[in-house]
Amino acid sequence: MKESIVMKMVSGLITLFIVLMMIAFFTIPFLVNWFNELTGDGGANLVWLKVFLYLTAIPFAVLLVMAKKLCLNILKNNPFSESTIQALNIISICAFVDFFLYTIGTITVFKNLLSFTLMIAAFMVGIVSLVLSMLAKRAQEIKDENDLTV
Amino acid sequence: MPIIVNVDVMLAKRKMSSSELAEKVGITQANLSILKNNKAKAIRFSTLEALCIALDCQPADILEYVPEKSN
Repeated sequence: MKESIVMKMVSGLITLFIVLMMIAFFTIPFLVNWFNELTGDGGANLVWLKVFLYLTAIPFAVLLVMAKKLCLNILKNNPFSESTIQALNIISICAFVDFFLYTIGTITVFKNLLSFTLMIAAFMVGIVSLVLSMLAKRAQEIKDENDLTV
Repeated sequence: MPIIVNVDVMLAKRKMSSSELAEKVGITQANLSILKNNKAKAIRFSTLEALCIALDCQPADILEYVPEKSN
């Protein structure tokens, strides 16, 4: 019962994030300008920053949608199905695409620690979700064998 | 699958229905159909024992090994 409440909270949180992302999609330019006025010039080209944020937002959005699908699967008591394995694979691909984008960003545009940290974080998410997908596949095989034992 | 389950033959011999057999053995009708359609991956000894008791036969009457033909 407790597990179900936690999963429902996580699922609601992801929905909230998706809504926030949709809002951010339209307000990013204004937010960046406002943030820049607030903190002074950070040394980075603002146009490139906006382009970069939009580019990395795409894999992130896909990642969020896949995470929502995962939560729904778990809530439906179907944890180790084909769709969760696929979702985890897509999550790892998106994370690695983000890692790639952040690497380019760190090397060319932002030579600061924040971009580097996000690059490493994206890489970690990619690795973890890849390992999880392999685990889920193995778990599905075991569950299948158990289900088909008469 | 190399192991074939011949429950239908024994059911016909003992003039029993599938649902009756499932009830006697203590498995669901769904599991019995998994067994009959050779979709089962494993069978518990307790289930095999219950099958033999219900059908009054030996395991060899129910299970048959057919080697896979590989070209």
